[in-house]
Amino acid sequence: MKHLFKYLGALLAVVLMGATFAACSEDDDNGSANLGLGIKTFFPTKVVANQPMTINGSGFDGVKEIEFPGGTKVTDFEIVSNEMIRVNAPAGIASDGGTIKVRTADDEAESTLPLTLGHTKISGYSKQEGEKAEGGELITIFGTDLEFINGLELLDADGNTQFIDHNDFYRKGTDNLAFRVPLKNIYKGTFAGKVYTYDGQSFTMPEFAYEPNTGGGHWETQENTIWDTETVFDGWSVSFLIGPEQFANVQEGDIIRVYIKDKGGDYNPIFKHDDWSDWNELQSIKVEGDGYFESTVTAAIIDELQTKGLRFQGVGFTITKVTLIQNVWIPGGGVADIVSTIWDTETVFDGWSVSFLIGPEQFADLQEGDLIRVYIKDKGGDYNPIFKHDDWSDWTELQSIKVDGDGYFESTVSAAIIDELQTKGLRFQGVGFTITKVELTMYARPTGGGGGARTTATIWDTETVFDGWSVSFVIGADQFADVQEDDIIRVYIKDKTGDYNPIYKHDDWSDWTDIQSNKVDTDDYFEAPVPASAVDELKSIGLRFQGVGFTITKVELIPGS
Amino acid sequence: MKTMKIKQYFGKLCVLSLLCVLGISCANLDYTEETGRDEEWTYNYFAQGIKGMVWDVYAQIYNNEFESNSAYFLASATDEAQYALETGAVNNYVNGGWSPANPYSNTWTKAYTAIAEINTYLEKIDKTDISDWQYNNDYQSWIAQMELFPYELRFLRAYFYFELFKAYGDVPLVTTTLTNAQANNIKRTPADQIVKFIVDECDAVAPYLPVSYLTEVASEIGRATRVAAFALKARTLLYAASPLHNPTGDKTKWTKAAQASKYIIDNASAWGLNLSKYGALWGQDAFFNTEIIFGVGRGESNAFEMANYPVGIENGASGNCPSQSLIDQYEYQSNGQTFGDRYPGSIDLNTVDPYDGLDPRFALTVVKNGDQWPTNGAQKKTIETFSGGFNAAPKYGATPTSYYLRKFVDGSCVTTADNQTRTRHTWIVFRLGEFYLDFAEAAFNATGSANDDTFGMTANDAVNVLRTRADIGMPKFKEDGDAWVVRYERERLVELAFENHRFWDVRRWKKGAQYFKNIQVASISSNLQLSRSVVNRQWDEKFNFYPIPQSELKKNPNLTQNPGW
Repeated sequence: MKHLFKYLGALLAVVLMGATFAACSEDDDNGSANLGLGIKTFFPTKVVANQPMTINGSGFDGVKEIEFPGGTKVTDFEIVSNEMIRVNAPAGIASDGGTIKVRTADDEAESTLPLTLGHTKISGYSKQEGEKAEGGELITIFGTDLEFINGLELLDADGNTQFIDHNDFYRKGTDNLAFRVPLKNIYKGTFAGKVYTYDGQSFTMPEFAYEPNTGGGHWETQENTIWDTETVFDGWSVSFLIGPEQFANVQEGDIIRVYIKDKGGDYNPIFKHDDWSDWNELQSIKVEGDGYFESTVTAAIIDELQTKGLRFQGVGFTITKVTLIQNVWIPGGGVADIVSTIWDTETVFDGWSVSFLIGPEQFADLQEGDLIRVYIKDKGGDYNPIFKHDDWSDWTELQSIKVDGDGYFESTVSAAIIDELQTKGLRFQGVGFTITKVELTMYARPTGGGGGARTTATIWDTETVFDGWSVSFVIGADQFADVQEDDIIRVYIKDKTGDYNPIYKHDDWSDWTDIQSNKVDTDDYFEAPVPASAVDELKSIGLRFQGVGFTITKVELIPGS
Repeated sequence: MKTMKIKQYFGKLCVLSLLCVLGISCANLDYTEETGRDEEWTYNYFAQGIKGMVWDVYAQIYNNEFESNSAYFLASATDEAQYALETGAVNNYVNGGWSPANPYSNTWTKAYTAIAEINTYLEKIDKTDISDWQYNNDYQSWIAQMELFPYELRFLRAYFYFELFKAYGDVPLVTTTLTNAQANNIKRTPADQIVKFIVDECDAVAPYLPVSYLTEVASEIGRATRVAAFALKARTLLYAASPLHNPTGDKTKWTKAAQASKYIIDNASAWGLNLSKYGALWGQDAFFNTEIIFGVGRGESNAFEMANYPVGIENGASGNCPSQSLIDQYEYQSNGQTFGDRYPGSIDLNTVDPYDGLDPRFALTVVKNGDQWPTNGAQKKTIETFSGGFNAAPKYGATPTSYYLRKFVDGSCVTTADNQTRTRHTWIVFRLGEFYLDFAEAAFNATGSANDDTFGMTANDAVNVLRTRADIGMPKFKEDGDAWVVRYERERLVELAFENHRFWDVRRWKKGAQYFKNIQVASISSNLQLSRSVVNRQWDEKFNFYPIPQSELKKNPNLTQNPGW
């Protein structure tokens, strides 16, 4: 019946369009310049008391009063323009809603759109009563009309009340709201926070065992690949299983995202238990994005994911990869491992004449221990892939430690090859395979805080020629955020000349004798341990270099033993 | 019950029919402040209708500043660059070709088109009904996105009002759909009220916008975030406090601007923002750069490279060529002396390398004679900008400044006739680095000192955060007073070069006559002698604001022209 009316509507519209073309004349006044008092719309259309809202319409310059459903009249509002009013919804709006009226001294207009009254209800939290809530962690509140929550109350480190404004929430939506526990300024102990809404409702949260985060660091949202073998689902017999080991750290609220392509008319993808029955919990909340579908992990399925894994079946699509999106705590104030694609042009190595070069700019931030992974497919019987220098000779350092995995081969970057990768890049040659992409995994470089294992960090990498006493550079304090007594500052040099004389300096250009006196020289670098007396200043001001008769290529901060 | 439904449908049918009548009988097809979308189609179909309408608004974010005939920048209308070809449309700003009849920029039209679409959407929000699709696999995803759209659109409306405010000053504040007669009788609203509107809207929508879209369904990047709303607010307040819009020097305006930028600096880490390496702000993966707060991503292309690669590189058209005036502002790492101070006259490049030891941002921004460029192996060569060199005059379209542009140009793009390669590009709208500078400027003007920490950070502290980044390593600012202003304006030019700030910064400082009238360019003789010459450009104080297009004035007798135009 509905469709019948749609067709009739379209027919009627066509008839009326024809009629109006005929009726339209050149002297049509194109509407009135003064529409008088009227309400076109307001936003939001569902409110609670004290909720800021806007009313849009015309003739608002003379508005004296606004009447809300239930007869409550408001005279305290802001006329933004003749077409817009800002007002806070009053208390006393009728529970079944109704229209809004605006009044001038001699006119009144009523909205056609009804205003409805919201009522916040909380149905649950992402944590159970008594559970630990560590500084920086994300807590999600579930319910309805949660957009009216405008703050919450927790205890600060000293046990005083602290208010978390909704601007500081991680995300505020109608049916879920997420906030982070303050990183360090949170009371260590069990207490119940409170949630507040615009209209003065308050909800007592369950008691969580709050704990400040003692290590430095921060939370990051990471997307990690847990399946990367392209699989064509062209019939119901096709399926693959992602093993439970990929879900070892899965948590409620994590997102399983499945990247797809070649969506057919019969598109029908299904999350499954490993026992092949449908996983209704995931399936029922499956949402589609451009190029993927995804579902959020619920508490109920975590055990099974961690013991049996996750299977996919279906028809009418190709899965290219599956990822797990998680909030991850990055310790040590440093950055997370960075996985970047440095080559993504599919290249068929069907003969020895095939080759490509990944430019040196892709290796600008490379460090020893980073990983080059080369994704391959169509491995033939003559499979023989070779890492090469740009001069086409084999790169034995990489080749000798090459390992093969399903769908890829990879090698770890050694210190010896970094310079060449950064100046010439990396070439691939070989036969009997197709490279689909090359990834570079740069493992976390700590830049401050505590917590994570500290590793050697390059803190300066701009080649600088010290050919006169006017030359100098300063390494900023941020590079020493994590510095400790007895860490080594190693300065790589080249082109040492007869007047060689390098000097560690304070940022105010005076010599740093504590460091200078412990300086030792080798052929390629000079270095000195950090004395306790220098730690504070390095952390707050940084370190300058001056001197003559050498070129600095980079400076490293090496954790003390 | 069934009768009721039939009545409802009949009611809808009548309303729709009437809307068809009203919409069609009164539409003036030449008129830009309306949209031609069919109502039922738009509001009942998600992907092509509702979402399509929102995306149409996003698509207006860049105006003609990024069209190819100006090689994508306003830079060549500033002292940053000289456009290689005299035919470049960007030259209109400086050669007298700019007038109400030839307003050049499409800012007015594009912004009001976007605003009209936004107002239409917000007014018809009750008509967005996709319940017919509730059994579609994507239904929940669509509903989740629709929850955000009104807030995204209100952010975008505020954004477009900022674009209008910075270009025209007072502009009509339109927050509802208008009849043609209304639109053609509307008056300009004072700039202060436009600023208040933008700030209030940013405050109103910010709590509802996500910090990141990574964990949202349909996680497109490049959409309005909470951080973008705070960034828009902060930049708007900075402009409002600046001399052009604050002739009385009201310090409370600077205070508000300082507080808004400080809020971003203080919360950056919690929002996942970090200062990145300077050279990572552009390139294939820049969209994922955690310094960029709001950027416009574009698909794989090498059009920008073709427009800005040097002549002599196949398909290169030279485009925006950095001026000597810009190079003069770069400081040496050793002592903070500028290039212009150390080498004020001619330079014998056979005996000295004047670029050695310069701020690392120079080498990341500019291609100079002798550099290897572009980076791709198929086209890499030593660039020759000396007279008679491979990339220099007398070749048609060669650099008029002896320099070529590197910043934002992806040297890995191959632009040969065959086997071209293309990469993604990201145009920065807001990035974290800007707000350290915005804060510094506002804090200095609010407190009167670069070393006053009323806001918990001094102006010098803020600038020095940028200057002491690991990849920059420049001497710290210690100045105060007038000397600080000079150095700050230099630092802002260098840090934000070619990010479309200079054009507006100099206008809001009311320093066009100082910076934009005489531009120094370099030429290098065949025996490598670098000499300077001055390019005279038109500047008039009226240029601080754009002219209101004559076509709009003709339609609307209540619309007044900006002074001088």
